[in-house]
Amino acid sequence: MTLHLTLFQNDLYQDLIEKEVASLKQQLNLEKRICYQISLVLDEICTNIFQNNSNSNKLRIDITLCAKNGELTIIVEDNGIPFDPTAVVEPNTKLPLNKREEGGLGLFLVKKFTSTFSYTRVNGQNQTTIRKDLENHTQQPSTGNSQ
Amino acid sequence: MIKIDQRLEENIQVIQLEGRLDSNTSPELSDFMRNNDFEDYQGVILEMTKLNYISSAGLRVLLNSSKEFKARDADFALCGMQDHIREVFEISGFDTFLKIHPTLDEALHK
Repeated sequence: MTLHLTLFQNDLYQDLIEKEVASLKQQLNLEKRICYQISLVLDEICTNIFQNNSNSNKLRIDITLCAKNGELTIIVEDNGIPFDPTAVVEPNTKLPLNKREEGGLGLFLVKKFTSTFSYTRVNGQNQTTIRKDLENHTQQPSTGNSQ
Repeated sequence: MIKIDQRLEENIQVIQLEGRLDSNTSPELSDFMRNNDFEDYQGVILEMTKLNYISSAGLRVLLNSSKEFKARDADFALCGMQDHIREVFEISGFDTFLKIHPTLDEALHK
């Protein structure tokens, strides 16, 4: 199955992402935890793009979600300034509170919740590709679990 | 959407969060924490049973709140996290400097 979503600068994009992931959840019978992680990954990627292009009123983000053979492939394309999200320095999560600083945590979580996180610049567009394993993350129909 | 409710239990401010903490809603919690004077109370507990979603923007607010409470030597704790939320705190290393309790009762009587 394949889903498409297009976002613009002034959209309440988290609501639109949530709606798309709810559709994915229903069609693939996914666990609540995995749906949360997919929403979080999309949210963090798009939040970075919107923040990096806050002065642009022509920004457009096209998202394709394709589930096949137990794997979800997400392709995020945007016409914003060149930005490689995979190159952002990871925060040191072992530091004590007084040494922890803001920044980098969102894309760090994207890396943690996906199996592939890659970037390329194609035809003046940023293209970020993410893959996530969906196998063993569907709900068991016999449990009656309402997750 | 984020709903923030505040009540007093045993001289501790219990702040119940309901909904989502993302880049759109986190400023509401940030403003709430900044605009309330918690100094007259024994501590503050964020009750998160009904919090369904948190992103790095929400974690950032909690990081800054933790630093402010620590600077005042005041108690600040979280409780009632759903499992998928707790996992993010663990991956981020936030469980190493935040007091996280399974239930409000345990947070109140730690």
